[in-house]
Order: sequence, then C-alpha cells, then structure tokens
Amino acid sequence: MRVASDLAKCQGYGNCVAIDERHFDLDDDGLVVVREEHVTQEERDTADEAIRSCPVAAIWLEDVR
Amino acid sequence: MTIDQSLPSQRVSDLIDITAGEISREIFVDEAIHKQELENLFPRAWLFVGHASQVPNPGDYFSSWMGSDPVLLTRDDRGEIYVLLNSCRHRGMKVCRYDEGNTMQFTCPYHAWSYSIDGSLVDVPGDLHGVPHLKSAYQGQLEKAKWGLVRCPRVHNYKGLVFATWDEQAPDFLDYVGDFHWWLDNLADAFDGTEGGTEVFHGVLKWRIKSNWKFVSENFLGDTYHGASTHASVEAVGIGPGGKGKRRHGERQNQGGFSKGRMKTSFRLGHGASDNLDYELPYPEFAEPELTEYFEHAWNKRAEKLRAEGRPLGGRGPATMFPNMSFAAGFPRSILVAHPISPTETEVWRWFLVDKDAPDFVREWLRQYYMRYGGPAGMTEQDDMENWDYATNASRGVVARRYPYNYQQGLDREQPSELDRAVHSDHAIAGEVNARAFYRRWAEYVDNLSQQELTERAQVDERIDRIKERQAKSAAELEGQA
Ligand code: SF4
Ligand code: FES
Ligand SMILES: [Fe+2]
Repeated sequence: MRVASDLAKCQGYGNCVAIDERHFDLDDDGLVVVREEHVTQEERDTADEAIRSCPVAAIWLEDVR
Repeated sequence: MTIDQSLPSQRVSDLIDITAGEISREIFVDEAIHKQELENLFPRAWLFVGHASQVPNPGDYFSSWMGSDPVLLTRDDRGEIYVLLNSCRHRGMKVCRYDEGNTMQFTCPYHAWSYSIDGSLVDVPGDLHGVPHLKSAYQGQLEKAKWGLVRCPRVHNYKGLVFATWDEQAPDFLDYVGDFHWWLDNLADAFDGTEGGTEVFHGVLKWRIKSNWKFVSENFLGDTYHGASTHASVEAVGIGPGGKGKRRHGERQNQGGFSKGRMKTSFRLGHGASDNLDYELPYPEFAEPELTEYFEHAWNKRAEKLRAEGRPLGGRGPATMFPNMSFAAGFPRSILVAHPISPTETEVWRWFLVDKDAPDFVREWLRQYYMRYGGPAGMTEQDDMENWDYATNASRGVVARRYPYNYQQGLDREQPSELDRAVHSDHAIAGEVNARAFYRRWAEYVDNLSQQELTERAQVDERIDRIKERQAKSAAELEGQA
C-alpha cells in the first residue's frame, strides 16, 4: 500500500504527524508532506490511525498499481 | 455569571401566594424574572434531552436544547451516550447545525476546530481533536485536552428517556423524580408492559408560540378543567380512536375526566399528573376491530404482568415532570418539551413514541392519529395554543399585571396519597393543587436556593400534615355531636 494526500484539502491540523512521523510531516506552510509513500504490513496500523485522525480526510491509502 | 444587579432584586416567592391561591401575572411576562429562570432554574434542574432510540448507532447525534443552551446528544464508538454543549470553544460557533445525523467528528464551520466523539482518538468523546495549522497558529502548544466541547456532567438514561443536568450538586435523577417515576415508567414501557419497549416515531415536531413556557407545563400538569370548553370542537369532530361521537383520548363516556375515582396527583418536588395510579383506564375501543383486538391483547398482557408485580395499572397522565417535560402515556403517547425563548415566546417540541414491536397497521393508525391530534397542525394542539397565546398577550398590559391569576380550586381539600410526599385533588376535573405545588417549587429554584436547601425544603410535605389536622378536627367535631 502507499500513502496519498490532497493538499487542497489539508488544513494543517498536524494530527497525522503526531501519530505517524515516519510517513507524514508538515512543510513550512504547515501542510502535509508525505515523507515516505510505502507502507509495510507492520506499519499498517499506525498509518491507518493517522489517516482516521485527519479531520478533513486529506490523506488515504491506495493500492500500488 | 450572575444576574444583572441593576435590576431591583425581587424574590419570586413573594409573587406566589399558594395559601390564598393567587399568583402574580409578572411571572408569565416579566423579562427580569425570565432571566432569573434561565440562570437559576434550567441549569440546575434535570431536563429531558431526547430519546436513546434517536441515537442508536455509534456516531449518531441529535440536536437539542437545555434551557438557553443548544446541546448535542451523541453516542460514541463504545455505545455510551453523551450530552455536549453545541458551541465551539474558539468563538462559540454552533459546531453542528443539523437536527440529527451521524458523524464521528464535529468540525466547526468557522475556523474548523475539530472535535471527536471517537474514544480511540481522544480521551473523552467531545474532546478537541485537531485545530488547523496547529504548528504555526499555536506553535504546537495548544492544550487540546482543555478545549474540548463542554460536556454535561450528569446524564441519566431512564428506559430510553435521556435526562441531563449541568449541576454537579443536583440530586441523583431518581431522587429528583421520586414516586413520579411510575408515570415515566408508563411512558417508557410498551403498551403491553414490556420495560422500555418504546422508541421515537419519526421526527420531532417543533414550533414556536407567543406564550410563556409555564402555560404548557401547567396545562399538562393537571389542568383537566379546560378540556370541556377548550376542546369542545375537537370532540364534536371526533378525532379519537373511536371516530365520530367518541372521545379524543379514547375514553368511554363514563371515563377520563367524567369517571369516579379519578384524582390528580401532586408531588412536593413539583411534578404533577392529571390522574392517579389506582385509576385504571383500559385502552380504547377503536372504529377498526383489528386495532381494538390488538390493544385489548396488549392491555391484558400488561395487566397480568403488573398485577403479578403488585403494581397498579393507572398513571397515564397527562403529566409534567418539573420543570418543562410534559407527556401523556396513553392516547396519544407523546412527550412535549417547552423550551423557553423569551418571557412571551416558547419553542415547543413534540416527540411521539411507539412500541418497538408494533406492527405496521398499528404504526400507520398511530401516525394518522398523532398528526390530527398534536403539533402545530393538530387540532387538539391548536385549541390549546390559541388560549396560551391570547392569555399571554392579554396579561402583558400595565393594568392587567396588577391583578393576579386565581389558583383557588380545591384549596384545603387535598386528599392523602400512598405515594411519597404527594397529595391528590378531591375531584377529577376541579383542583389546582398541582399547579400550586409546581409554582412553589419553581420559586424555590428561581430564588436560587442551594441544592441542599432545595432538598431540605422538599423533605416534608406540609400539605399532608394539614390533611391530618383537618381529619382530626372533623373527627373531633363528630365526636362532639355524638
Ligand atoms: S491531519 Fe489531515 S489536515 Fe492535518 S496535516 Fe495531516 S493531512 Fe493535513
Ligand atoms: S469558532 Fe469554531 S473554530 Fe473558530
Ligand atoms: Fe388541552
């Protein structure tokens, strides 16, 4: 799986970063930056929690095509 | 917050003379008194918020009011019910503007602070879960745990009826209700006696009237006196179960207000009902035989169950739980809350209940009956609203306000009751004992007696002593004659 994001939706809550620093970070404008796209099986739970914690659903997981 | 001290300080108890049976009109029209009610009564009493069946699933919410404050009745991810103040902690925006729905988070429309009711994301449902630009706006320092939606500290789910109070010092719900709970039981239990076997039927009817909220409470509390005049036209039309020529609540001609053995019940705690527990009123005869059969079966099942428990079968109301939750637990079976808007405006909400396991033909019959009976377009409701609006309007005048209302029916004619701190009227229709007790309790709250004083005052019902004195006196007189 890989992480995807929509910068038009992101409001810079930073919830994702607080939960999953490996995959998410904030840029200088305070918006989300995906640090690492790839999500391993072991990382899956943490990534899911970060995604659920986003109040505006600006991040999600997709299948690698 | 305290009351504006520039107002002449007045004790509302001075406006209520329950010994003489006179109550000043000011309490129905005066701005300052209304403000005192909002400050001292509504945040300290137990109020009806909504029904658990309105929020059956995790994430469900229902928007309601407690006095002057908008609240959200919510169910979190573990199935727990919460009552949250529907006002953002940032600038007060109403975080949720829908009547009901499902969501795990309330994101404020103004600056998008986001509150969650998902216990896996926040410590307590309603907590602040995110603010936009946390990093730049607050340098990541905002103490989110401190800025959650304000939570109502006391919530009680009574057989699906959800009550709440803002006051940590308030008595437990069951102590607040006392023996009046029998009426709540009949409201919440199914027609066949199944405990808590009811659910809310469709939406909530909401409308505004140009009237003081206490007119509504008082009417349901025990004003059976108005029926024959106010509802004469409804009776003529025949909107009840039996159709034309039959009565609107389905009573036979010798029942209801006209029956022998029916009395009103008045509690020292302020609650009141138009009937008593020993007064049995079987379900009506319907124009449609299959409905008569259905309800006859339900009545027999209930009678058997309750008799086995040693419980009387009466107690259907209409009734009012102090201060502003009124209901009837028969035909119709409906809850009516009078939300105070101003001294002369009230928003009335009507919920209708139906048995969870009621078949479609029963639901459909009740739906039609409820529509023609209640709500802004219902005929019975229109009759009452007309009175309350005009009564409020004609009581606002400078001269009108000099003259009190009369509450003298049944003065010193109260009858003893087997219930705790309660008395009965001596007549089914006449008798304003319920209203007198309601306004006394109202004044105790509005004059801001402490919760401890409120409890102490209601510890004894001196009306019972008066009854005993009266009985002793007449016994002595009889002896003197002998
Ligand atoms: S939680 Fe959502 S809104 Fe907040 S920074 Fe991450 S992606 Fe953006
Ligand atoms: S008022 Fe709610 S976020 Fe500003
Ligand atoms: Fe009425």
